[in-house]
Amino acid sequence: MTSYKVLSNNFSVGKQGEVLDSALLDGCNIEALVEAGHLAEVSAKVSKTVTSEQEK
Amino acid sequence: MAQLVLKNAYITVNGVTLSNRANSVELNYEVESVEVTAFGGNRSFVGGLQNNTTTIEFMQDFAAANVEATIFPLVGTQTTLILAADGGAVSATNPFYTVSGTYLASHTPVAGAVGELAMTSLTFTGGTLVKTTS
Repeated sequence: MTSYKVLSNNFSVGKQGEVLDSALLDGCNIEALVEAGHLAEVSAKVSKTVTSEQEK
Repeated sequence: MAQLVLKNAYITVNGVTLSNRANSVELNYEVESVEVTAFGGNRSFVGGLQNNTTTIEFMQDFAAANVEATIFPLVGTQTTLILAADGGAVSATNPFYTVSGTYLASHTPVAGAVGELAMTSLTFTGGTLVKTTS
């Protein structure tokens, strides 16, 4: 599930700085909200994969 | 409740509160009439599809995340509107109207004559209207 951070102070679904799951944005045109500067997609953190010697 | 003067109408477009940039709003809730008149009777109709139209007059604002930034990417797409006669809490005497899946065909980013306030008049068509009282 994609998450979005609220950037603007006039977005009624969430407060500025809040991170919302896309499920909460049902009915909203998310693409337009991102383009308008109301939301920014929150990138998922990529965890480092440690490869052990045995796997090599 | 007595007469109501619109002073604090509530308007969100695509989840964005733009009440303080609008000075006119009109939601026309319509269900098309389908004729079922048969021989031997008079004109008779049943309800068909919803055919809703919402017109909002916005004072243009090019500031970040404001009128123009919010509206421009919506042209040619469907979105959701939430409207109420007053921005207070939803109640039986202050119902909220949600129009989902309504289509915006056009927008006039620059419009007006010399000396006039820059406005953009938007007409949203179609969609499904739901009234909420609690």
